[in-house]
Amino acid sequence: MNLRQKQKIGDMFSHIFLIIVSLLTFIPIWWVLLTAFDKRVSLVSTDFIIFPKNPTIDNFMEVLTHPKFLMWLKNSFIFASGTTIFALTLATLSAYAYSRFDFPGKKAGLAAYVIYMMLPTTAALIPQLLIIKFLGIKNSYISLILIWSASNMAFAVWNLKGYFDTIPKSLEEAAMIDGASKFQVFTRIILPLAKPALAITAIFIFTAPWTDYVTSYLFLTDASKYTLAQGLYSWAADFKTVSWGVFCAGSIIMALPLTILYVVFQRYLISGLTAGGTKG
Amino acid sequence: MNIQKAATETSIVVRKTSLLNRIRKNKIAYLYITPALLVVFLISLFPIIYGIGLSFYNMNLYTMGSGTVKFVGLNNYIKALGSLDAEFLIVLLRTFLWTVINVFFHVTLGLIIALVLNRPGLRFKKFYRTIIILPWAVPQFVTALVWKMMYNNQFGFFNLFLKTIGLPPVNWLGNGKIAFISVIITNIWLGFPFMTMVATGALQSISREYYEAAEMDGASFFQKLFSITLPLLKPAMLPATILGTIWTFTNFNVIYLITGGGPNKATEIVSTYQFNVLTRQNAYSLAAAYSVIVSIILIIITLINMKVTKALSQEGVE
Repeated sequence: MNLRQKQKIGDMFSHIFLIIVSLLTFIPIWWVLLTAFDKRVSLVSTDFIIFPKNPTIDNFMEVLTHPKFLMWLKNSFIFASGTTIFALTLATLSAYAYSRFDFPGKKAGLAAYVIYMMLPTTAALIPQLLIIKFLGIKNSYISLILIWSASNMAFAVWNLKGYFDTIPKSLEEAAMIDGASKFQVFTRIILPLAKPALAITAIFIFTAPWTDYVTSYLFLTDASKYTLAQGLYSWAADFKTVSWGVFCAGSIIMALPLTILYVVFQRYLISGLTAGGTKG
Repeated sequence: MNIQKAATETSIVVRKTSLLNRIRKNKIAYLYITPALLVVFLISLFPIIYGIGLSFYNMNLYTMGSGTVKFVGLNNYIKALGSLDAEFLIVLLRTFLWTVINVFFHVTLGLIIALVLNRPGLRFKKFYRTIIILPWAVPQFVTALVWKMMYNNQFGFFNLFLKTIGLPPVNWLGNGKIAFISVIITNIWLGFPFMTMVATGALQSISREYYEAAEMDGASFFQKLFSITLPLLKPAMLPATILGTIWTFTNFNVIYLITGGGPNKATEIVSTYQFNVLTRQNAYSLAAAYSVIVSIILIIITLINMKVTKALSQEGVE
């Protein structure tokens, strides 16, 4: 057997292996797509199909006109984008200070974030409920935005500080000589350069409120503030309320934006995660 | 003697003023870090400390209602870990089992797939890679709900498939042992792509020259694997594995959304158990004690992580 034959046989086995893995990976996803895009007469289907028999987008039309689903979608969007904007702004300001200033207490502050990441956050749930009640903001958007922001802050600060550290200081010094103020340097030089890191951190922050079930379950008692996670959970808990097709269409709408972002930014997200992990 | 004393005194004074000066000079820095610190302290840190305190009380819905909340010392911890048949201890052991099995498959599968994907000259690599990372890219919450449907007895994917190929249906979530296997299958499916991606990234940074040199010396495939590839993957894979261990240990979604910890608490792990104690039994102090215990375990894992990472980075220097 010569080298080329050997290479060919090796390639063939590699392809067979990778096709099997890809199939196993893709089956659940294909099944959701199939259920969402196929027209069924009953709530569920009892036959096994590989391709849609009657392709349709009816399920999507139904879920996108479902008043409850639209309300959940709106709430989730407000919670998630509110948290992202709020937490990212605060984290960027802190990360910049930790990266560029040499102030007393800097090391302690950074170490505190690391220790904070290791503390029993679930022990805080009941006291948090008491605080939210005390502040009189129960069932408000701001209450959960604050909670999700606090729980994402440590990761966001460390992640952004790590990136700011890689931006050469000479750039700022040059701008300062030209008469720019520290704030101008921050907004005109650092922020534009840090766009990739800001985008990645924003995706991570956004994911938490968008997919978290526990926090909204514990803190929201007003049904008009329920999130997508709570809504879809209630549909899945009792598959009699909506058809599987409608449920799957709803799941796809909830999953698709994040899935695309995660696939597009995979490399940066993975390095962000592992960097944050080794530091934390 | 006096001169020396005076000198140290002035140096203290100088240091003091310089500290004050440095604080004054960095006013803006404090302005920048304060909002984030305030939010973290008020919304998270203070409640955590309060919660840790709660774990030494007997607070639950009943004692709160009757005004009999009192300090009980270590009672909640003794209840959790004191006797061998304590429910929490069983759940804790199951959590370790769940973590070990999952992480083993995540790392092994992830590595094997990454090695095959890294085969030089193989076509469609990008296509395979995109498909294989999908379980990582889809939000875990949605995945877990979808797998719950797929496990459905009558209409789920798996039993329809078994029926089509003429096999009897399996009660995927009805039996404790099978349900535990079912949730593990889901979590393996969810977790191996992350390891594949980390390993792929690390593999791409290994220079081809090592292999070329080894091939010249007539090294076999396995010799190359064990003396070049795996040792060079270690710096990336070890931290990722420890991170994966923490994620798996604290995973909530997969088990809670698919089985809810049932049937009969047979699939309960610490995160779901703690949540159920909190929401179903309203035993606030007990849940807080569980939370503290889990945290201590995680801190130990993190400390090991830091040691390993430090050892690895020193290895790199040598």
